[in-house]
Amino acid sequence: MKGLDVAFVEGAVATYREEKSLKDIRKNSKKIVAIGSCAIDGTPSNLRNFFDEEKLKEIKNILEKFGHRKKILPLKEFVKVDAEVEGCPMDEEAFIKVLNKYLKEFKVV
Amino acid sequence: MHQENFDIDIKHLSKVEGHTDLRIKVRKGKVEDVKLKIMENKRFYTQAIRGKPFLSIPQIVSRICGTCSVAHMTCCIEAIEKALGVKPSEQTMLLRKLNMYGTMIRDHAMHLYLFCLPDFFGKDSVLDFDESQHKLIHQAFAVKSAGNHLSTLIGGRAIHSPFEQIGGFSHIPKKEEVTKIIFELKKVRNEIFDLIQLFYECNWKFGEKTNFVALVTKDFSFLEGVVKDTEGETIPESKYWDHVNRVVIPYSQATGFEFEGKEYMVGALARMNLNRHNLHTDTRRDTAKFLKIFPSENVFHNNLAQAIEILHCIDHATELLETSEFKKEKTPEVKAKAGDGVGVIEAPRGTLYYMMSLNKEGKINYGNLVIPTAQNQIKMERDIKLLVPQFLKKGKERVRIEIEKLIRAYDPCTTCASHFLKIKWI
Repeated sequence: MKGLDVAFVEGAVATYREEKSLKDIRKNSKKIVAIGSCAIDGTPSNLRNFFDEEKLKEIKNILEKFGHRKKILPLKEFVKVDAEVEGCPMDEEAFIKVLNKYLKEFKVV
Repeated sequence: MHQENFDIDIKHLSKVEGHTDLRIKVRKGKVEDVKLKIMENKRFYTQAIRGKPFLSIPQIVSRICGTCSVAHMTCCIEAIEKALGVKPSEQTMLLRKLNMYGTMIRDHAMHLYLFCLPDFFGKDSVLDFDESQHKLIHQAFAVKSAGNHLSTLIGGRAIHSPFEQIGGFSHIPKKEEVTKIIFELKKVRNEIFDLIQLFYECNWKFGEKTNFVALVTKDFSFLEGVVKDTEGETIPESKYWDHVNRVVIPYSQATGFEFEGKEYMVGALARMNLNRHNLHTDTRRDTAKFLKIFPSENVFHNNLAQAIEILHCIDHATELLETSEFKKEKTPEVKAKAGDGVGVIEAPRGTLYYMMSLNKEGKINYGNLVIPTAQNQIKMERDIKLLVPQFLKKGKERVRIEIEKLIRAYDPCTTCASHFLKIKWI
């Protein structure tokens, strides 16, 4: 991955591996667009952020084994996000709008 | 003879749903190890739903998967309705079938046109298709749109339907909208035959003796009936869990399943093997030549089965829309009470099981799910182990291509498979 104009990123950041991927994407892209509710504010992927002690205890081993972060967080907590397409699922019209904007900006059309 | 040592590492296998890694170790020309790792993160839905009121659950579990959200929602609603003793009306069942048909058409079309056809033409993606293949890309989007529009008509949106609820639908489709969709479905019907023909002519072959399992429905509508397998067993929906057992796969974020203590396969191929005589009359008439291939144990015929299922969904949906008068009706009373309920349906990738246990306030005590891709995982890994030696002499790159083709034929959805964590039974 190198020299991207626009990266469309969906989902929230749950693991250290994903945090690294996201930062790599940022380094190699001129623009980042957060796609959908999870990418923008973490919901609904972040259900485990609200678990009580009992539930946290049940999932503790898995979190450690697969390198999960303590909390699931949206993209903007780690990198600069240039545009957002809201909704779960994402709003199609809003996506087309952003896509067209960047197609023009990068002189593809 | 050349005795090779090499490793193949595939990270983020492309053109499947979700994230999958694969590691293969070959020493002295022999396959020593194959590990299929589902790397989609667990989101702990089983824990998340516990303690939440039943009314909120279908919309939560819908988020387990983008592409088959309607299947999760519909199966969960069935389980909760059974737990509460709610009986959906005939019209509600019909609308649910139509919503599932929309999902199947769109989901199968995405997999076949956009994920499988590139393998077929030896291309990396549809973006590399040449002029003569462009027709297929146009067909892909026309068919996908028809599925999306059908789901939008019935469920209010193609994904995470707002209209489909416990007890019934909050909105009934209007006549003029129905007419428009019937027209669109009829228009794309003809295009499916190109797709069916392509997968019929495809000579890829891989299959070992396998037990196939599917919910056998009288009208091939994916929602009601009994579970059957090719070894002749018949099981009521509510007893499905008694016949499967979970297998922990330590390096994967998903658990596997065995049926009657053995690996098995679910999905379109299983449905075609067990239930093709119940396909819509028009589908059977126009695909008679292709249906002769079944029963088949060739995993690549899963693609042909999916293509034929698209046609069935179009034919049955068209008939249901043409012959039904949708009316606003009184929905059954939905009241919190303690109880357990099981829902079993056929999701695009196979048999989906939901068990919901409610306390007297209507909150979830616990939930148990069996996901299609998790059920296929053990067989999929075994098949890769058997496939690798066949292509070893042709080199590492060829082995990688052949494995990817085989995995794609299974149409795995790892987002679904990994949501789950073994639960403690109380």
